[in-house]
Amino acid sequence: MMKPADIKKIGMDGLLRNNPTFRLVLGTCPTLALTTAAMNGIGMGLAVTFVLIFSNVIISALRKVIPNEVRIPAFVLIIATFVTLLRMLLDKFIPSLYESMGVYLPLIVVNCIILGRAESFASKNPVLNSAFDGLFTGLGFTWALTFMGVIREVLGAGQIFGYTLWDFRIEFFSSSAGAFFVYGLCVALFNLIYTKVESHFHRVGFAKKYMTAPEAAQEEAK
Amino acid sequence: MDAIQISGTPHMRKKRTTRGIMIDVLIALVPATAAGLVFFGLRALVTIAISVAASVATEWVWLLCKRKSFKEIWAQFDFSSCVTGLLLALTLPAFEYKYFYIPLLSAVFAVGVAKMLFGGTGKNIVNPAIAGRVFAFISFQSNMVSGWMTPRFAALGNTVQTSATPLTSMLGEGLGKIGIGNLDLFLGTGVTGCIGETCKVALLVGFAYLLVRRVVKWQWPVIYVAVTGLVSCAMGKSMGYFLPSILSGGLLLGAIFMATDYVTSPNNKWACYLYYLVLGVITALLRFGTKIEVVSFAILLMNLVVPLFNMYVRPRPFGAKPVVQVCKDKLDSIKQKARQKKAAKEGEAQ
Amino acid sequence: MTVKAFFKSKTFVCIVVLLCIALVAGALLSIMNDLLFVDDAERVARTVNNIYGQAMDYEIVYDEQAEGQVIFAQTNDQGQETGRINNAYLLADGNYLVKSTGLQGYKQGSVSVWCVAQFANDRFVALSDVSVADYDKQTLMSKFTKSVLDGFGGNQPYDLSNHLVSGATYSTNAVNNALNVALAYVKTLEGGAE
Repeated sequence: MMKPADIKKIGMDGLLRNNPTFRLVLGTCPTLALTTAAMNGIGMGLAVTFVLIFSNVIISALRKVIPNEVRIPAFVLIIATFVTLLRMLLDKFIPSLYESMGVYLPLIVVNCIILGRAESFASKNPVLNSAFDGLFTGLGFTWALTFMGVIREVLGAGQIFGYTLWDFRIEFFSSSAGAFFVYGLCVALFNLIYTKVESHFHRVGFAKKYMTAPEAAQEEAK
Repeated sequence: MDAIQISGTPHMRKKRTTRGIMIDVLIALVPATAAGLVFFGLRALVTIAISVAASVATEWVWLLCKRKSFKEIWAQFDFSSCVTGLLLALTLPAFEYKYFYIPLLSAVFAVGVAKMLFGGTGKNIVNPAIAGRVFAFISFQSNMVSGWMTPRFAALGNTVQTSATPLTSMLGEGLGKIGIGNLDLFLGTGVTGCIGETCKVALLVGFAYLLVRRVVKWQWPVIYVAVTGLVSCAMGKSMGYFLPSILSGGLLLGAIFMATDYVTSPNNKWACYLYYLVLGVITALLRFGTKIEVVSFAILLMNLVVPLFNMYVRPRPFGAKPVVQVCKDKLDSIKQKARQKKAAKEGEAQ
Repeated sequence: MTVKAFFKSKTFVCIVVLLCIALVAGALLSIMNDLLFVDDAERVARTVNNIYGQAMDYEIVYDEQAEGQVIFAQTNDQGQETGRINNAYLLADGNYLVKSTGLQGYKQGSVSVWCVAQFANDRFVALSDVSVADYDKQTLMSKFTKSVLDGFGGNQPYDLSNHLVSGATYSTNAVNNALNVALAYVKTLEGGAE
């Protein structure tokens, strides 16, 4: 059975350490195209989460059956099935999201995040772990897209989640050039904060293990 | 006492410093700035002031954030951000006061992103003033296009101007509709345009100063401008396009001050010849293809390709034989072998 | 290799696994398609809901598939078809809801649009509430936002000189063709619908 510590590790990995947008830099195509507005980002992120969870579960369940030579075609078949299913569901129940995603909905099939997690995690781990990994990686993707979407929407259109804030717009951030620019800045910012926090925790953990108590307290204070 | 100076070979001392070169460029820009102020008045002054102040402030704030002290920054300060700010302002139209944020944000983008983010002076991959101008163009297009101000002095000859600038008239409707004579374009009287680019006389005076101080080589802007003019004639199918296309738009300003930036042009002579040739061709082609002022976009594009030029057009290493000599040697050795063969054959025959 | 060796080999297992996955997936998707299918009636109801904010009764005036043949289409000077009517519905408030397809788009593709033909006293007033239903081979449909399409209302013939979305000329051509054929069609409906 899964321990809470395992779930916590998978969660932290998916949301922060292996964040697909800012750390692994996977799935950049929908990131650049669908962060013009925050709602688009959330919609895309949740769609990818849906496909990730189900495809991870199925691939993990079949991991002992699929031979190694045909694993990629098999993965793509399974992922395509779930993307088609998602298309049908969205068309029926949330047509506005279906229309705003446009051609990027079928593009989820070749989204590197899903194939990457299938290849590196789901094909080697049990079903429940893979399900949680899919969930948290998808949520990591969603929050990254929403973050970028908020920045681009506020600066480029003067709106936030569709609600108009002011009239001042810098069109640069709504364009593709601004997409690349904001993406680069966000990756740099995220990695800066992440490495600082990680080195702090690393140092504190190391100090607690190997140094005497007053020295460890000194390290923690730094 | 001064710290010991460590530097690489060759250990020669010259009077020229980066700061000196930048000050020379600033002096060369003074005539163009003065002409812009005369033609466009107080709005131009405000635009220039905001741009220069924002550029210098961005550089200082950036360096302060990296925890340098004021003294250190002043010791390293080489006026390059002043030059960037002034050049950027000269490529923008004279905005109304309520659009003050446009030169401000463009200057912050130009110095902060295109220069400091990549490592400061000497490490930028594109010309910062160009990057700022392109940013302003993309972001505030509606204000840029409608912000043209008619200059204070009326034209000397006849004018029939239909659209915003002479360049757009010429590209959009043909040579006959340019609406303004060559002399007026040359002097800048009655020409709508960006602050620094209308008075060509002032720009040429600045160019002459830079040549005298040996900051730029005369070939590069001349090649760029001439090739643009010739290709424009080819595109427009008449030689009448030559002077108007050279004298309208930001071509002279871009060619003299921005395309010749040391950091973003190739290292060696032959690469430079090729670079300015291609720049001229691209500017002319893009102008006729998109009917807008493209000098900044063309220079930006070519700046990005400069590493390719540096890699593939190599200078001759010191001590290596020049190409002509190598060919001659090869020819001589071939002749020698032929002679030996012939002698051997005759020796056999005998 | 021998038949028996083939059946024991890796290749056979791979083929079987892939076929099984494909079959199961196909079966699952066809079941879900039946369950989740959005038919024409629902699409009309959705469009009406989008325009009026509520459901509204309508009766079918013209349905291309029911008729079995195209009875209203337009061609251009070169004899190529430029547009045709797919469906027309008479709404409860007296206006007509028309779905038409415009051809001659980018890469010879097409765009299908919904539009409401405003009628007052059985006379045609203007087209309004244009929205894109479907498109084929067009890549720049994201330029046709709601505010852009709101500008496509009116009762004058549609031309690239008075309606043009910059950067998407061919797609605008297709939309214009669709609206032109709708315009021509609703004029035949004046004076009592049939």
